Amino acid sequence: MTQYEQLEGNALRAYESMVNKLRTKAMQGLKLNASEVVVRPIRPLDINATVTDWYFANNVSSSAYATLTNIDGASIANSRFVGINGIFNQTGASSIHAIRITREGAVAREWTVDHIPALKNQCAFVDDPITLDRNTTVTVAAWHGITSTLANTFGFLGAVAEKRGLLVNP
Amino acid sequence: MFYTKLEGNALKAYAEMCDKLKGQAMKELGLGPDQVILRELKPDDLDFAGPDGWSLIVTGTSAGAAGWSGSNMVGTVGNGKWIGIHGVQTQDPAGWITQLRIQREGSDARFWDVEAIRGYENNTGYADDPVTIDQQTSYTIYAYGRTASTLQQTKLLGAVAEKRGITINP
Repeated sequence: MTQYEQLEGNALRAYESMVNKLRTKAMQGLKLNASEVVVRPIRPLDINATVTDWYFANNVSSSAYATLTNIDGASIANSRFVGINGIFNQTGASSIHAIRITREGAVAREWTVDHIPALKNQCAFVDDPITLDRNTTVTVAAWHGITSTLANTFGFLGAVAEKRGLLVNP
Repeated sequence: MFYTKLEGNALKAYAEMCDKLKGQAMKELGLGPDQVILRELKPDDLDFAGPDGWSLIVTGTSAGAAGWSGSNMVGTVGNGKWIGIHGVQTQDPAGWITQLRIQREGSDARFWDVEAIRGYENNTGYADDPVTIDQQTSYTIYAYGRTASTLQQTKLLGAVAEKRGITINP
């Protein structure tokens, strides 16, 4: 599995496949028809961050995986189906090297992210997006070399499927 | 999802947005295709002052108590105009918006996470889910950020359909 600089080709196909999967799960899980389900961009709150924007900290100074602050590891909301297909990393000389996403207590993805600040758009799109169903626990841990604050410089790109009108009514 | 280039899905979405705007203008004004034009979105279409008038006000504090602000972005689209927004460009060095919420007739129509765009090579992101606002429709555009600031280099990209000659006669 690899990462792409642009959302095209394999990365775009993976994104579209992820969105279709989320939409189908929402329709089946919530017993709604296609017009009653919306797909919108992901927000930090959708993965149970305790902040509205991407604002995390690593309080571990040694090289190790540590859970990011502000992502509390609670369950995805009962009405939401979440997908992550990209990462942005604007941390400069990166203080964050890799990300580990744990779903229901099992490691679901480990993505290297320390090359992303050097990419043209400081973001990368994966060809193996992860989906997080409603009522599923999720934890995000990062591998750091130093203690750092990721102040609006690191976050995820993705989509959420949910009932129309719950958050937006396009 | 915000794309780094206006091509592929983003371009397709933009073209569909333009077709929708033009179709609505033709239908509601009772005009033929030659009598309706599409032009770039200007700040004063959204009640900002003048062609250089983008000034999104972000309310925030240094303590990180970031807030939504829509105080200067409330209005009603003028009679005879159909507006579409499909992109965001942010070049402000001091502060930046992390999220945008576009409310139409009192209901949230889009909830866009725009944090990654600051790292894009061209500081510009193109949405695959543009929003349209019809004539005589009220809107509020809320911006979210951590630093209290007035952003004059953060722009919304889009198009307007209206009767030929109202603003320009191409």
